[in-house]
Amino acid sequence: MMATVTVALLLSAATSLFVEVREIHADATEELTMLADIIAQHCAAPLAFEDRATAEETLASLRADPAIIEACIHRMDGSEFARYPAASSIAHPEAHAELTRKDAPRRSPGAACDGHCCIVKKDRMMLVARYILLDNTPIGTVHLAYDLKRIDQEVRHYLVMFGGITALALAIALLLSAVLRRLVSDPLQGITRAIAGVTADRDYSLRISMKGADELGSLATGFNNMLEQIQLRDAELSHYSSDLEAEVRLRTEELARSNRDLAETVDKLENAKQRAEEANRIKSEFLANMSHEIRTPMNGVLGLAQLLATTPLPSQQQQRYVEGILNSGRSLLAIIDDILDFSKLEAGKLRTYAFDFDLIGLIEDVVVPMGTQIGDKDLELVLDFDSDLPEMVKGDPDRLRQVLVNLMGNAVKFTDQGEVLLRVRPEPDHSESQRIRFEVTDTGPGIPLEAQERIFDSFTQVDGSTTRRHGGTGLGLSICQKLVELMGGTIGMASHPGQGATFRFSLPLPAGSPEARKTESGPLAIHHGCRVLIAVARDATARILRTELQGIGFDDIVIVPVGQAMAAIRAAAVTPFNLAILDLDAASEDFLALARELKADGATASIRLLMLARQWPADRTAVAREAGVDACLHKPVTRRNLADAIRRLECREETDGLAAAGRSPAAAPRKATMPQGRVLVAEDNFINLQVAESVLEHLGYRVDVAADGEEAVLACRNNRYDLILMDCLMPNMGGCEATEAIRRHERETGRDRVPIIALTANALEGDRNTCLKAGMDDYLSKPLVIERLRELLMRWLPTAEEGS
Amino acid sequence: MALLPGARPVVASPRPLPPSPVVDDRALIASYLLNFARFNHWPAHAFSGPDAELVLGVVGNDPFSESLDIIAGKTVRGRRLVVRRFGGDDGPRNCHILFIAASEQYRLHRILSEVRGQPVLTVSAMNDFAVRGGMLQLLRQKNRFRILANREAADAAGIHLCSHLLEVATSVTTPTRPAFLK
Repeated sequence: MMATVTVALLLSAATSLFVEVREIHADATEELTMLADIIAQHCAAPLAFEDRATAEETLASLRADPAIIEACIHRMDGSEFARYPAASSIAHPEAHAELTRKDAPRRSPGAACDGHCCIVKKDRMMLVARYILLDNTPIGTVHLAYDLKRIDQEVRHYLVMFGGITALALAIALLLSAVLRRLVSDPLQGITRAIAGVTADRDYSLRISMKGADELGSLATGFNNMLEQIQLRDAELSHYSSDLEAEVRLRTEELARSNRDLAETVDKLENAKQRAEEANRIKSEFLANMSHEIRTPMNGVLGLAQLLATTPLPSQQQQRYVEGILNSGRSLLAIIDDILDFSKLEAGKLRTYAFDFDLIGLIEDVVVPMGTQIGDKDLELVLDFDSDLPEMVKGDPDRLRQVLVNLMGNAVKFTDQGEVLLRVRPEPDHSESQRIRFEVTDTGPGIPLEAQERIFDSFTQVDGSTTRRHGGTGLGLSICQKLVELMGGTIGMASHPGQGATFRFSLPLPAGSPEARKTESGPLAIHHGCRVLIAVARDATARILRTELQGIGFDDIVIVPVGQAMAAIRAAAVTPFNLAILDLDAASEDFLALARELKADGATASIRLLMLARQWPADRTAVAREAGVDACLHKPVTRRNLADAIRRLECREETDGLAAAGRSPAAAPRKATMPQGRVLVAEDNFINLQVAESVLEHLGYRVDVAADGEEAVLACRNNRYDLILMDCLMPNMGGCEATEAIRRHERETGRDRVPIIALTANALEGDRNTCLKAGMDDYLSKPLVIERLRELLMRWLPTAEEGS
Repeated sequence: MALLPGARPVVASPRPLPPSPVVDDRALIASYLLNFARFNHWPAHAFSGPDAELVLGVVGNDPFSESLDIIAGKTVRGRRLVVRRFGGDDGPRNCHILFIAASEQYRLHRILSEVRGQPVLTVSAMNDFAVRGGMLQLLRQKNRFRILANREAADAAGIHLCSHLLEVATSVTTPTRPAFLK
């Protein structure tokens, strides 16, 4: 305590002293600067006019302050002008030197300068130099030296004074402290010692032996009471804590036990989960394998049944039986395919691919064969492509095909009358990644509201009766949904019961590279100025026809309702139509009779007649040709088949003229148009081989057979073929490998490129594009269906059409 | 001591004339003329505008030759100093300082009367100039010139001679002449 007081006193004394000394110095500096200013002002004129006497008189006035030991005025060139005291020579030129330095920014330590004034402290002296200015221009300098010893003396006085005061204060403080200690500090120290003892030894039995009536006495009593309380609590606490320890031990053991139990349970559950997942995986694999295994004999059954159907059967009953076998087999196969896909999706084994493919071509491939599924229903398939649709897109064509087949198949299946419209257009609001929207709209019975919510669930059908009527696993839409989602798209539906249904899905399909697109077989002629008449049953079909014809280059297109075609043709006698597109399925007008009439009349015989029909069985084609129809076209109308038909019409016109081609084909002997082509079938499955062979032979081709890829390559080197059917999976050498070898050989020998058709199993759809990349031209799904094979041959060997 | 608001750096300031061992009177007088311009105050109406030049006129046979070129163009209180030389018979002299060469001592009376009443500081080194009504006379004394100042004449012209200048100058008054000489 005493030390504190001493330090405080000394500190305050030192601070006061310091402040005082600083003030003295500041005062001296200010005084001196002011003095220099005054002298500079007074000496300006004497200096300007070389009046030394006046200047020295001014300087002499400095006598008044004995601390000023030197003063001097210089001209700007450094020569001395006036001095004080007169006798001495200048002894302290530092400030003057500092002021007039040329390298102004570099200052000596201890020098404080602004532009016109400089102060230097040195050897207990303060030196001031400043410019003498006249109209802001320096004309000389004034220099003063001030002796700080006088200030030091002053400081010493202060020091002595402060020392005395501080000593006195200290003495008084000591006296006071001695008195206070006896009254306060001693008892407090007693208490402190007691507290220290209690804290160090934890001996709460200690008591302070001090009595007194003052505050300290009551403090001691209070402290003793507190110790007593603590002693009591301590005893209680130690009692509790021993209880608590036992409790904690008990609980810890329980916890450990239940932890062990939990860990065991988790292990068990983990095992069970693994087993369950394993079992599920095995089940899915088993299902996939089983489906695949079932397919193989089914292919055999179907193939043989097809073959049986092509042979002449003695009785109608036998024909019906064969039909029944075929239908049941196809249904079964469809179910197996569904289960296979579904189990693959469930097992997470289905992958999607991204290839460049021809979007419109793919859709047409899907939709055109569906025309045959319509049977004798009054139903029309209509394709509506947006004109902004990219031709080549990047995506998984096989999965897209599967979804389209499913949705279109459902629509065709459930709609008895009206139309099924497939509308394809780019989503408007996806600029960065192009999405394409597909909409399948039918005029069927629609879907009840309560069924709409779970329409995409597995094993769900609209109701039991539809299951019975139409068959199916109820997996189709569920598969569609999973596939669309797998491809990054969305699927949905809208329906009003009784007014049909619309299923729509949207997929990200960015535009593909245009060079990957297959080139069309030659450009179409310019159709500018051609007049076209369209008379078809459905407005949608008429609209699509017009759009597609305009796309090809036709610009003068007239659409009339069925029933007014004849009237329209007659009315246009002055500027006759060049082409009439007529719908054979329309019931209200007999277009075959109309065709005959037109061709018989010289004025209208030059009109090309393009007839549309859902199906063109051989006999119907013959009748049409006989009636004078120039070209027959399957519905639905697609860009490709329409363009093909137009091209055929043009070719015919160029070669042998209309009349001969139009009237004679039915009469022509079949053998004469039978192709003499040669086809190689490379296939290791006996049944498929037999189907292919029999169909091809039935069509009049010479068929060679290869059992694997190596044989196929060898056969190609030795013979020339018009077409090769190539299985993908074969022993020794696969189809892709063989194709590459054949293409290489063609390049080396300069042979023509032979069309190679891949035969792919449905289960291996992902391989299709691999086939195309390997150099194949088209593909055909197994099991081989005679109709499909025939269509394919028509596409690649156009002469086959004549034979059908 | 608001002496130097916005003072220029010392290094860049123009230096006054360095005295040579052999003092050149012409250069010395030139520097005196410049200092006169700096010490004295003209009334505001002496200048046509705030940027108007301060004109140092020289009348008579010019004794300076090129010496005045050293001070010509310098800035005095923000005004540019220009030197203009007048012939002996020119009309009114439009200037602020008029140095009258010794050659004009016989025409001095006329010259002074021509500028009387105008704020023109008249300077000359001719004898008896201040006594004869000139304002500042330079009187040769060893290596310097003493200044004789006629404060009455300056006051009559409206020119305020600076007290510092008066400190170094010797005051002279125009003696009261007998009335018949006026």
